[in-house]
Amino acid sequence: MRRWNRIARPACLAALIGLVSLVGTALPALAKGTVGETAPAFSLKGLDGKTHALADYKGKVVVLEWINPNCPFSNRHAEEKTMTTLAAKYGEVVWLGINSTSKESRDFLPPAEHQAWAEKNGIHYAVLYDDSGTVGHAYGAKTTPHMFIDGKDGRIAYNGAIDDDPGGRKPKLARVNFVDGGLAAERASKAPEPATTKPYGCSVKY
Amino acid sequence: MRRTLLLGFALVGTLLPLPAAGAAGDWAVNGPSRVRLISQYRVAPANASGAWLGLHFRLEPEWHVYWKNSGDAGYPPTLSLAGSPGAVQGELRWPAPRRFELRGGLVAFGYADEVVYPVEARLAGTGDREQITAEVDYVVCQVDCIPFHSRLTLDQPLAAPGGESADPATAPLLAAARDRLPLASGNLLGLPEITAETGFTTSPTPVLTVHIRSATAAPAAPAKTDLFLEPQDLFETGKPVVTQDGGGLTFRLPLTPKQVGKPLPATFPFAWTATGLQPRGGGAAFALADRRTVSLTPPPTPAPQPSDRPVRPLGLALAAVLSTLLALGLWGLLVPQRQGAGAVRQGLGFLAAAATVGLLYALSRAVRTEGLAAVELSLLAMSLLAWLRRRAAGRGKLAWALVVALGLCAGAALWFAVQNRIG
Repeated sequence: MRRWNRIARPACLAALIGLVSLVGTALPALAKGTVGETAPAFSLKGLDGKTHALADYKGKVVVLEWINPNCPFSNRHAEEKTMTTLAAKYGEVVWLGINSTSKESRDFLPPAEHQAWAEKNGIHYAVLYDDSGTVGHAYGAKTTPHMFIDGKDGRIAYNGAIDDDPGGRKPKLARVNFVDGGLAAERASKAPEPATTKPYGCSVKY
Repeated sequence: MRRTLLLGFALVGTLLPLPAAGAAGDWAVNGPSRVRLISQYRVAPANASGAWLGLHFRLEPEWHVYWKNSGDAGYPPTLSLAGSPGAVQGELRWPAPRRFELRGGLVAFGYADEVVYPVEARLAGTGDREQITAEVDYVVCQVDCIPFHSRLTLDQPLAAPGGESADPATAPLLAAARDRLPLASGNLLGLPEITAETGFTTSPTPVLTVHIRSATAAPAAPAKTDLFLEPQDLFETGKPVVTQDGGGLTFRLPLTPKQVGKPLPATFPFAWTATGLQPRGGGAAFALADRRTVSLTPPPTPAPQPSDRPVRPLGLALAAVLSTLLALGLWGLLVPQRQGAGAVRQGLGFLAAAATVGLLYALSRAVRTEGLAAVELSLLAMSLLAWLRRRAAGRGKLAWALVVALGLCAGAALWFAVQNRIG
C-alpha cells in the first residue's frame, strides 16, 4: 500500500499537469463570437459604477459596441451620433458599450475622463470596463467599433462592422448600416442578413 | 472686410502647391505617414494603356498600411482617379504582404516603412499633359490607427509614342514594387515547374490546404513563407501551418465558420497569396496567387487507413502514458493490496484495465482532443477519490461525501464526452 502511494501520487500529479496544459493549448482553437452560438455571459462594472450582467437582460435584444474614445473610428461615430441615433431608434433594445482597453495601454481612460467624453457626445447608454480583456476575448472582439447583436434567444445574431464605410467618406444616408438592418430584422423576428461582416477600425488594445 | 478676405485668398493661393510636373507628385504629409503619386515615366506616351503609376507611402518606424485583406483591424487603402480632368483609369495592385502580430492575439496584414502600390493605368490624354488627380483613403496603424484622406495630383508630361522616357528615380521604385506583386498561378513567367493545388478538408475541423510543388526543388524554407486569404466573410482564419515534403510545401490554414446552424455553401472561391517562395537555383523570393472554387462538401471519405492517419508523436506518447496510468490506477484499486489476493480478482483487475484502454481508444475517434483530455481528467479524479475513500473507510460522513464526488466525476466524464463529439 505504501509503495503504491509513493508511485501513484506523483504519477497522478504529473498526469494532472499534463492534462491541464493539454486543455490549455487546445482552448484558443475554439471559435469565438460565432453567430448562432450562445452569447458569452458577462458581468462588468460600468462608468455609472453599477454592475451590468448580460443575464439582467434575458429575453431582450442586446447590442454590444466595442468602444475606445481614443480610437479615431470610435470617436468619429460618437461625434456623428451613429450609435446614439440607432439606440434611440430601437428603444426596446439594450445598448451596451464595452471598453476592453488594457490598463497598460496609453489609450486607457479613467472613468471620469471616459464619462466626460460620453457626455460630450450625448452617450447615455451604459459603457462597461473590461480592462482584463476577458469579455473581449470571449466574443472575439477585434476592432473599435466591433458590433454584436445578441438576439432575444440569447444567441449571437450579428458579428461585424457598424456600416460599409470604413473611411467615413460617404454621405450618411448612402451608408449601409448593418446593425440598423440587423435590429430591424430582429424586430420582425427574422435573422439579420448579412449576419457577419468584417469589422473595421483600430485594433482592440488588449 | 472684403479686402482682408481677398488678401487672405491671395495668400492661400500662393501657399497652395502647384501641381507637381514630372514623374512624382508632392508628398501629402499625414501624421506618421506621407503619400504621393508616382509614374514610371518622366514623359509618358500619349494614350497609353499599359502605363504604371504608383501610390508611394513612407511611414515612420512601427507604423503600417494594409494589404487588400487588412487582417483583424484597419482596412485597405482605396484610390479613385475619377476626379481627373481626363479619362484616366487605374486600379490598385497589391504587393506581397507581411504579417504583423498585435497584442491580444490579433493580426494585421500589410506593409511597414515604405511601400509602392502599383497602379495599372490607362492614360487617355492626347495633348502634352495629363492631369492626374487621385482621391486616396487609407488608415495607418501602429498601436493606434489614424484614418486619412488625401487628394494627390500628378502633372504627367506626354509625348507622341516613341518620344517617351523613363524616370531614373521612380522607374526603379515601380519596377521593384511590380516585382513584389504575386505571380498568378496560371502565369508563372519563368517558373513553369511550379504547380499549386487548393483543397478543403473537414476532418476534424475545416482546413484550407494549398500544396505548392516544384518539379526540381523545394520552393522555400517553411519558416520564410506565409499564406494570406483575400477578404471573405464565411470563415475566421487561423495561422497557416507549413510543412515541407519531397518537392513541395503544404500550407494548412485552419478555418472556423463565422456562423453555426447555417449550412455552408456547396462551393466557395478561395483566393490566396503565398509569399516568400524561393525559385529553384536561388534568386529573389516571389509570391504566388491563385483563386480556386473548391467544394466545401467533399464526398464522404472511406474510413481512414491506419497508415494515413497523421501520427503526432507527442500526443501519442502523452495518450499512452495517461492511459497506462489510468489502467494501473484502476487495477490497483480493484485488486486488494492485502497479501494473497485471489487470482480471480487479479484477472478482473487486468480485464478492467484493458477495457479502459480500449474505451479510451474508441473515444479518441469520436471525441475532440480537448474533450478526451477532460474525460481522462475526470477519470483520474475518480481514481483519486476512490483511493481517498478507501483511506477514509469507517469515517461515515466523509466516506459518503466522497461517494457523491465520485458520482459527480463520473457524470462530468460523460458530459465532456457528449459535449465534444466530432461532427
